[in-house]
Amino acid sequence: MERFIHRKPLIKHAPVTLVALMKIRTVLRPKIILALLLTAIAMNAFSAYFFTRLDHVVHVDLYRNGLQFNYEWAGPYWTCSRLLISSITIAMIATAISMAFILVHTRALSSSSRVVSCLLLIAGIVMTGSSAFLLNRLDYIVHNDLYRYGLQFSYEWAAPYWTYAKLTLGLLGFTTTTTSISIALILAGTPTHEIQPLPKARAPLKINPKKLICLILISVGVIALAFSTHYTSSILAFIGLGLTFWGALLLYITPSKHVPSQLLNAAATSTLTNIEKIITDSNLNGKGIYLPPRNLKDFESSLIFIPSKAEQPLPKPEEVDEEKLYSKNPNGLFLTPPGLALSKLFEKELGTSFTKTDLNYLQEKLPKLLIEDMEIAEHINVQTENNTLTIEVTKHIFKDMCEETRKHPKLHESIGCPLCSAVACALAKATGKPIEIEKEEQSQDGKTTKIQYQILEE
Amino acid sequence: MQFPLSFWDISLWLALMAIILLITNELISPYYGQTNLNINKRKLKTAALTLGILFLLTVIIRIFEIIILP
Repeated sequence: MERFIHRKPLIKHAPVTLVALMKIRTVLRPKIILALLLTAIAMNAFSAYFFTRLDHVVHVDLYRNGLQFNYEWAGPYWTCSRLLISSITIAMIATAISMAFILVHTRALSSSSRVVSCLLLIAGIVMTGSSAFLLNRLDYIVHNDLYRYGLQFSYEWAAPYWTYAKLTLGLLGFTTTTTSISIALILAGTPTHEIQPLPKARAPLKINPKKLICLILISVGVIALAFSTHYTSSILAFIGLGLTFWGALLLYITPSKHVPSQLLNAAATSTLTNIEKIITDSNLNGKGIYLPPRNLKDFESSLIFIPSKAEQPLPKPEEVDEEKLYSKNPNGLFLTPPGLALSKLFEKELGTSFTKTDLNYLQEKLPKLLIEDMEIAEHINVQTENNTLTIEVTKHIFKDMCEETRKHPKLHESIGCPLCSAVACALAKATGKPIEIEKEEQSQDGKTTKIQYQILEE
Repeated sequence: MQFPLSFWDISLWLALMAIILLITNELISPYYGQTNLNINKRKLKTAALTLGILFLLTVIIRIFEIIILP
């Protein structure tokens, strides 16, 4: 689900017929609202469950403590109890329908559905409030009327009764708060008053077999749970609980999109060939140097400088221009590293910029980042010796791409494969010094890639 | 018409599920070479920890009940 954003009118002088088809879009935070409403439904369900436990205490434990049955107290008690369960159910249904309207609003841009969803949520709050009132009525019956029918006070029944009553009341309060916040968020989404064309016709609905299986599991589970309540069968309840839980879990942990690595390699090959062509055509003989942030205009960016000759000085900051390809003083070439985007992804994953870190931080975090967080490799060994940093990456997903890079000698020698390049970008930012890929080789079994970086002194 | 599972049945169920998921999460960790499993391990970890916390909440409720009993 996409979050709506303010957009400028796409068509300034649209024909009247087209304008008639245009609608006002409303800014919403659908994901947050839907999550809040789902929480509200769950809390309502839990409050209903705790109320059934409270009811169980009244109908089982109180009789053991001297309570005598009489329609005079049972009649109002049952009425209140049924009304309470009905109120909670209506509140849940109203919230669920409201969610559907919010989904309609976000997809079909219907402004009326926003109003309807708000009204439904208000109805839900009223129902939840009446549930709380009815619970207080029930509590009054238990703590006043029942003592006239032989009930003896004992902590044996009072302790669980109070716990369940407080839990039910607390959850009802939590539901009201969550629903109120949702209403506020819906109302806070102000209309843009910008004319927008209707969205393009949607693609035909594709059925994802994995999702379908999960949804079937959840549906069967919910039905089993409903039957278990009706027939008071604990076996059915466990089956229902299990099916619902595993269905929801599988739906949650299944990755949304899975791309085969061959696709990734195929998409990158042409770009690597182009870089090789540029370097060969420019007659450059020096090794590529990853420039530190202080040599760049944009500190968060990265750039490689390939000098025309070896042992050539680095370009001064005022001579470096990210937009330029060729440098005249000193003679050389500026290229965007092939691993720049990957290094940015590393930063996003770590939640910090490499410019704010140092070599020790990188040495400490890199193994966890590549193994656990991004699942790029199975094993990583990082070693530092003087100004040389050696990284051994075992069984990494860029193996094929690194092999492809080796087919381009200039590229391999100057820039390295995307993984080597990404680590070099990170190193240049973390150390604040120019970085050169000294050596990159693969073990005989082809499982391990050893990369040696040289931290240069200016 | 009453839900057949008691609060403590659910507490036990939560404990079992949390243990199963936490063990699964540990066994499929990339540190053991499981890097090609088509599972969002981070989400699995979140689910396992959530269930664990829910179980602990039920334990807290239980303790609370024991304390308020004279």
